[in-house]
Amino acid sequence: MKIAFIYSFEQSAWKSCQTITQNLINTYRLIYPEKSLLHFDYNDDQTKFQKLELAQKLVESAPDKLVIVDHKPHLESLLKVFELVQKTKKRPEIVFHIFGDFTLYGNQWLKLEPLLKKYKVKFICASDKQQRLVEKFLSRKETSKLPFPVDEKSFYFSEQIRRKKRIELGLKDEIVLVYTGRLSLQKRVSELSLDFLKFIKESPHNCVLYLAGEFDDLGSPFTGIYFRNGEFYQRYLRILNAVPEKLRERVRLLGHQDQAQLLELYNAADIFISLSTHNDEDYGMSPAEALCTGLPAILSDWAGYSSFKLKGSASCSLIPVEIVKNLNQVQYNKAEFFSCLEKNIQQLAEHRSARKEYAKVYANEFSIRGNSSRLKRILEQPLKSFSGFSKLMKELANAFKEAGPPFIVTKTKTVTKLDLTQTNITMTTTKKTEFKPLYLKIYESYLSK
Amino acid sequence: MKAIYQNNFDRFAELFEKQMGNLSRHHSHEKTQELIHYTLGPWDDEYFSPLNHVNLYKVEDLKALTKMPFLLVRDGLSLLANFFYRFPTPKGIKTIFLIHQKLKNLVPEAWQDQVVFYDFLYDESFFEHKTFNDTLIVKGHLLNGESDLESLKKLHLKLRKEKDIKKIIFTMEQKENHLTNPRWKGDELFSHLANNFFRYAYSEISKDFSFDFINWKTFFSMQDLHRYRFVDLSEKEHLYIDDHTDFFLFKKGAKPLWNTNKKSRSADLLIPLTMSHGIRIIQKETFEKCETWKQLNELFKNLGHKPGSPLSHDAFEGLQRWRFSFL
Repeated sequence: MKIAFIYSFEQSAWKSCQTITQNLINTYRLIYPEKSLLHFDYNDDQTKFQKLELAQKLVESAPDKLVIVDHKPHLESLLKVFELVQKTKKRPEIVFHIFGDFTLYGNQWLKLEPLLKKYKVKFICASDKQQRLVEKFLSRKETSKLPFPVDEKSFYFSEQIRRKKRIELGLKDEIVLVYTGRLSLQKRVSELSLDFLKFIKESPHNCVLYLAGEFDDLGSPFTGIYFRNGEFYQRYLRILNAVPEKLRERVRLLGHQDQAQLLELYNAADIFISLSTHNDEDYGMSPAEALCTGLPAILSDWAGYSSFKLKGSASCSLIPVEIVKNLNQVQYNKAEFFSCLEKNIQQLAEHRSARKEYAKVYANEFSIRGNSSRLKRILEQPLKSFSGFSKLMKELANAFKEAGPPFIVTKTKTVTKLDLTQTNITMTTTKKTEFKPLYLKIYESYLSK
Repeated sequence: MKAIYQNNFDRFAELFEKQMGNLSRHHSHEKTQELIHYTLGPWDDEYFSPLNHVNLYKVEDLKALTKMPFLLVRDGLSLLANFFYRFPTPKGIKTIFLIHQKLKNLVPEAWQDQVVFYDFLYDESFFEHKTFNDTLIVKGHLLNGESDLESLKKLHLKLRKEKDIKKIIFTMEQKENHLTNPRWKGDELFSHLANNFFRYAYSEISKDFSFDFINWKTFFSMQDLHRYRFVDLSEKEHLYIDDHTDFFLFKKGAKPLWNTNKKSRSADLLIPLTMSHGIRIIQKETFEKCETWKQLNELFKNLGHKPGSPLSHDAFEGLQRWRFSFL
């Protein structure tokens, strides 16, 4: 068995994707001998000639499977060249590890469709809801589920690390809540901070919230929200500055943390919180890593996060989420969040004594080792030729071809008013954006039924 | 397009505008503003500031500023001098100008009531418990007319004392200095300039450090800068003060190698721009009776320039020589 990994040797701009690619490859390493694993660099900067050279090398190496372990570039341009170069009829199977940006490449998937039908294809999704979403785009169910694996050597529970880090952070008896990941609009970090402050204002608990990560200005471009360079941080500050300073100090920004620092932080913390409603939250490396250190988590019941609640384990709580069509927003239920946070704080002693057990359960489910046998089973399943995409893919591709953000529609409403005192007629026009039915069709897969 | 950008913060509109700017920049050598922007880019690239930062070299009419109660001036010495020369009095506007404190003595008497000072500070405590790698980012421009080779030699000597730096990443571009040169002078100047620079790097710097050259595109695509430290190759305040490349590096978690403007733990009045740096507004200091501005005015008069008109390239060249005594 020869497996050709296709990925960019240049690190992805998305930190979680850097880890995912590496951890996926390491999972394959536990199944196949190193000599049967071939690595091919496929990146955005390659010229047509470099792609041709790459395709030739691929053909010469005659792999049994092409395994796509990166989120970009899309396979479309490489596979076209590969088809030109390849001379035998025996084509390798293609295994796509699907990332959260699957829905942003409608046009590329469609262009790839005729070619892809010549191959036996498997789509591997990282969570149940992502699997549900991807299947909507396929004519036949050709997906499997495999969580993006966590490196158990980097994320584990240690009482010693906990004590050391808490001293370093100057913590005594504070209850430490932690969010890690990008500090971004769709990750709902502003709401999380404000709701946390609201909570502690009215509660007797001595809590602090650490936010670890960099601010980004991604906004929500596919629903028409754009930020300028550095703007989201300023918006965040403006919101937080409305709160009295003494209270505000309970939210602490740590900036970027590397893996070793994250391990310490998770161990020092008491509860992990992420209320993200991001459009590409197909999984969630941060919660997965935190849970593997035995840290209890409060997560939005959205997309890949929902898969972190395991039967029989009390360490993960989910907060209901709804899509508010008219407001062009995905919102988590605040009342539920407050009561869930209170409940988790009440159970802290219980959680603390069970952390080692929690860590074991989650490592078994999400670690590289825990996933290797699952991956082996998936790869051994016989594959059929690709049957094609559903109509939804065409709809998606068309939405991206149109001018403006693909998932919203702008509605203008003109109101005419007659001012009787001055006999003036005034007309006011208001613009309102709301989700297109297409958005609901796709992303309702990320809600819990 | 501008209206769309303003209403929607549309980053694509912004990119489009930039693209248009790039095109006209290369085809229309007559447009002074574009040439200045070409010289300064990416230092003067846009980023979001809560303090209404503006490039005064782009202001054609003072009335355009009337709606701004205050603004922060991004321009350095030469361009600020040009502004004050074009507008000797704040006729008809009440806007308060935040000017970098290094330039305080450049403010003409007529403007003094409308000026407050600022400087940039970074928060040392943000970098506590962070470890840095042995690679230093050195950023700058190879501007024609600038003595960057001398700056490089000085920097080299200084860096020899930094025992934990083993590698240098130079990020810079060769450019014409359109402030001092009225016309494009041809590529051979660049290669001559670059030759000296690269020759020194390969023959001398290589003895002490490994090094690499990258362009701005690669620089801005760099991730994980939180392990890097950085310095500027040479002082830039004569051209530019509020530097987008500094903003980018701080935003990405990088730290300046030499700590000149640290924020103390006590709460200075700091308006944050990133998690690790911000702007300090300084209580107004006394002006040195505008002697500097008067001297400069004299210099311009001798060169035959009338107040209210933009400075010529000769005047800018004079200014750039004179800056050493000022900054």
